[in-house]
Amino acid sequence: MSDEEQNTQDIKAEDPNAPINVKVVSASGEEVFFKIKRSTKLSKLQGAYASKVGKDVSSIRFLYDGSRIQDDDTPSSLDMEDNDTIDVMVEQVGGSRS
Amino acid sequence: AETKSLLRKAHNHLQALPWTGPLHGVRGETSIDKITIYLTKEWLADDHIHHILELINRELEATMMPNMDEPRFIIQESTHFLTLMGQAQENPSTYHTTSYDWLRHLGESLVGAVYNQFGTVINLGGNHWVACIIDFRKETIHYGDSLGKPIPTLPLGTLRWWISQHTESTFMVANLPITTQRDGYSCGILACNVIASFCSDQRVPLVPANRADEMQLEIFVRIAASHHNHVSTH
Repeated sequence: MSDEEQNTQDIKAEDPNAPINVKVVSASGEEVFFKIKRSTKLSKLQGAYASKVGKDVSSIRFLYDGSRIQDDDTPSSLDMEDNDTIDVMVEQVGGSRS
Repeated sequence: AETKSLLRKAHNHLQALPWTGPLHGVRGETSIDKITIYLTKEWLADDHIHHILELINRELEATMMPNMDEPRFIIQESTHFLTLMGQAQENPSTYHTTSYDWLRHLGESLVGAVYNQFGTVINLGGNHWVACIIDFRKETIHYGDSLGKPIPTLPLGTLRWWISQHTESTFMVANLPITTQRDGYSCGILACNVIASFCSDQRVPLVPANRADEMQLEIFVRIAASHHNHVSTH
């Protein structure tokens, strides 16, 4: 890759409106792909994913790099890269082993 | 007198909190109504454990001075940690891809003594919370079940697999001195409490079983206060 091509890629990577491909993977391995802007709040992606899989968004958890995604997080704020993965987990509860 | 004071504070917060809407002042996506669970005997969910561990992290960070003689710990607030570790174990070739950079870096920081201890709360069978602290300096997996049961094969195998990715040492298993549960709902609060106690070198005392409700009440007051503080300053 030439220096010019590399520079173009770097600029594109920092552009908040540049789209990024994100893979959302459930604990059972099912994958759903999204293409969103780097500046888009991931809460929008979460809502779209929940609608797609027919679940209440409050019953599932979204994690990136092992940590819960926050309300205001965007791909840009999390330094996400193209084709990165978001893990989806179902809500856990506990009180006393039966 | 302390309980009465907490009850009065909780009452005041309840009067001031909206019925619902996003909860501020703690991480994670939670609605305000979910924190009222702390005032009931309902089972705690992963969000609640996340909040409690976040408060513990804040408290320990604020009260502990950096000291090389003191074990340096990291408390993972997400209870889904073991599930993600298990996924890596199922497909071990993926562990060395970018998908697991975060988990590899954690292991490397523990082996490299950036941290000595790693603590987290684990969900067992979808109905029980237990505490786990891996001490890389003493090569020990500390496990605490408020019902007094030993560590089951599943979390132990996964934890040992992860450890084996970073060191050839065999870690022994030891019991955490967790308070014994005497009801049908307090395992979560007791699991968080033993992590706080262990990581603070017992400066945070173990809560007696009959005061677990009071601890939940205190958690509610602290989270509600954190929410009000955030809302009033943003």
